[in-house]
Amino acid sequence: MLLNIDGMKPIYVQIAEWLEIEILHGNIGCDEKVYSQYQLAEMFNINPATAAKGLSLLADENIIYKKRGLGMFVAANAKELILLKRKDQTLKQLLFGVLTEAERLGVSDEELFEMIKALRN
Amino acid sequence: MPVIESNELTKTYGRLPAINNLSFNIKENKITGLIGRNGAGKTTLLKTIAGFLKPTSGKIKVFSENPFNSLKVSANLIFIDDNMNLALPSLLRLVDILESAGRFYPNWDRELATRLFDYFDFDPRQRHRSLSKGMRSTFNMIIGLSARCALTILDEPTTGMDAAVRKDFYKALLKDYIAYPRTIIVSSHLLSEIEDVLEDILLLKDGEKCVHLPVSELKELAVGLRGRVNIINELARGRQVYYSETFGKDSIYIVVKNEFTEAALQSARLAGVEITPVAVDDLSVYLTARSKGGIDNVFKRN
Amino acid sequence: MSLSETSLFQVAKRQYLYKFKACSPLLFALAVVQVLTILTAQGGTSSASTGGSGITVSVYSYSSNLVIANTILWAFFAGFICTTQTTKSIDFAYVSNRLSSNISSIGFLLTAGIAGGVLATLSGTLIRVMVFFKLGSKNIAPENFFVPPQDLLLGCLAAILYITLSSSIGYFVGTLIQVSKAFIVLLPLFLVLAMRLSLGTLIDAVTKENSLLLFAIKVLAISVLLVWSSALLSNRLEVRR
Repeated sequence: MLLNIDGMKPIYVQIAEWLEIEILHGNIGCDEKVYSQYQLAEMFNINPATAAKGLSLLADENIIYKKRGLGMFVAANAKELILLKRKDQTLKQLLFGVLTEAERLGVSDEELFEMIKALRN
Repeated sequence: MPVIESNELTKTYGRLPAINNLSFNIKENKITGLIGRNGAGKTTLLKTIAGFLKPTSGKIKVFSENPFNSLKVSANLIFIDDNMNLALPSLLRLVDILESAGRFYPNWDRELATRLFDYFDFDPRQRHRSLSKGMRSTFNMIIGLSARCALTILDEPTTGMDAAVRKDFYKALLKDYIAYPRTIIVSSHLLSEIEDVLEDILLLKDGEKCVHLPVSELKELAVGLRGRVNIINELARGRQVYYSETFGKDSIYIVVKNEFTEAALQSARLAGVEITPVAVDDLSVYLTARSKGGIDNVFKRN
Repeated sequence: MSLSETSLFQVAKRQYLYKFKACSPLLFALAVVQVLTILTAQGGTSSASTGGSGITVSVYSYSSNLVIANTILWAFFAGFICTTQTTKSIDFAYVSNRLSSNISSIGFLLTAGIAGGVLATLSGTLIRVMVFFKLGSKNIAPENFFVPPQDLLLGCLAAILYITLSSSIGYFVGTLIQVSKAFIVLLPLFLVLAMRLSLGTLIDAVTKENSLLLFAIKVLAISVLLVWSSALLSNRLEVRR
């Protein structure tokens, strides 16, 4: 996932992330059928193969599983997996971006904590 | 069995090869974009696939047959280009053209043709030669889609279309492809517009195969690095650089083949390097660039 | 997606029918040629005058010969035009191979030629009627005014045969030029040469025939030969360039 930061994510990644958010919000429940590659293709005006790639991305992470002949379904522990993944990868990578910029500007960790506290209020 | 098999295909006009030693396969039911600069050999290749032109050497097989003079290939293929005004009788009314086309193709969807015809506000009594360039392309597109041929070839189908019509075209193409999958080859200059519709890209440079990859792989083929010259040059050592541009005092932007590990990239970021993905249409330009230096050199006067 | 099957016969038939719509300008040209010729034939296709001692006798002849001749000319050009890139492009816009394109073109030329021949022959009758109303029965010599049906039929068949021969020649010439542009120069040269040598006798050998049947056989044999060669030659040509 080298290209996540700096915008312009690959389409299939954006599809996967959109599906993750749908699952997190409960729009697609556990063991419910996920949109097919063709439905996603129609919705987002993309090639079905690209949509399929997004689906297999989620399948590789066991967020969804395949039922032969029926399609892709949301795993029982999908929500947990997604939260974990987003904390681990997405949040971490965003933090890394912050740290990089901080390094560039010579901002110390203490200054960063102050900034976080200030933003919270 | 691939729908199209090309083996060391060469087509020469006079002394210059329009296609040179081109080998590739196109599998069934994919939408492939044929991309390349003007004169890269796209139209020549498409016409050879359609059986209009004969190869000078090498082999081309469509549906496992030689397409030249094959009724089987012709019956399952439709070729739409921006020269259709030569191939469609100029005095026939548009409705008559649609009806005649329909007689040749068993899969012709009359309802789709009529609905698209009405949607784009065509006048049924108009003649083909009195259409504007954009309307002509739109009409030709209606024929191309409604024929539902197993192999649909569209050579610059959006010539003259305005942006709104182009958007409709991509949507219509995608929708009909999803409903009735078939092998589609589209050649276009507007790669950035069409890349979401494509599955694979076949990039030609001077009649030769430059790349033939799925769009998603092509998007991750290269990465853009911007930063201080010395740092960038270090990173670029031993790697394939597709493009480089200097600016400012000692800044440089390069596009390089993406063989970096995650860790390597992270440390590059820490060193102040900006890492950006490369848009597919920019990458195609870089990959097919002539090595005469960029247009900036034309304007450098010292 | 399963592939559609098709046969040469089906494709050629569809193309043949399509040609009547697609090549309608050619048919329109035929009509124009015949109508114009009929109108200009009002001055008579040939005339002779003699006179002396204050009396002049002018004899005007009217016939369908000019119409037939112009139709034969049209047939040559029609045959030629059917071999050009534009007409081939029309075929190859849809389902076609070179053989089906040839078959449908030849079928079209034959049909149009037969129609043209019949109409040209009948134009003779039309001309007679027009002259009758213009000059009055007093001024018309009665011999040959009424053409018996069998003569009409004979004339019609002969006209059709000439027209067929003409369009076959036009088709062959057009194909040769498609094969190589050099023929644009070579063919006229060949014609000049042939005229000097023995073209006259060749034409007589074919046309001076008393038996319609023999004439028909000769014409058809030559036409088939020309058209067959054209089909063979054009089989390796490229289209839609």
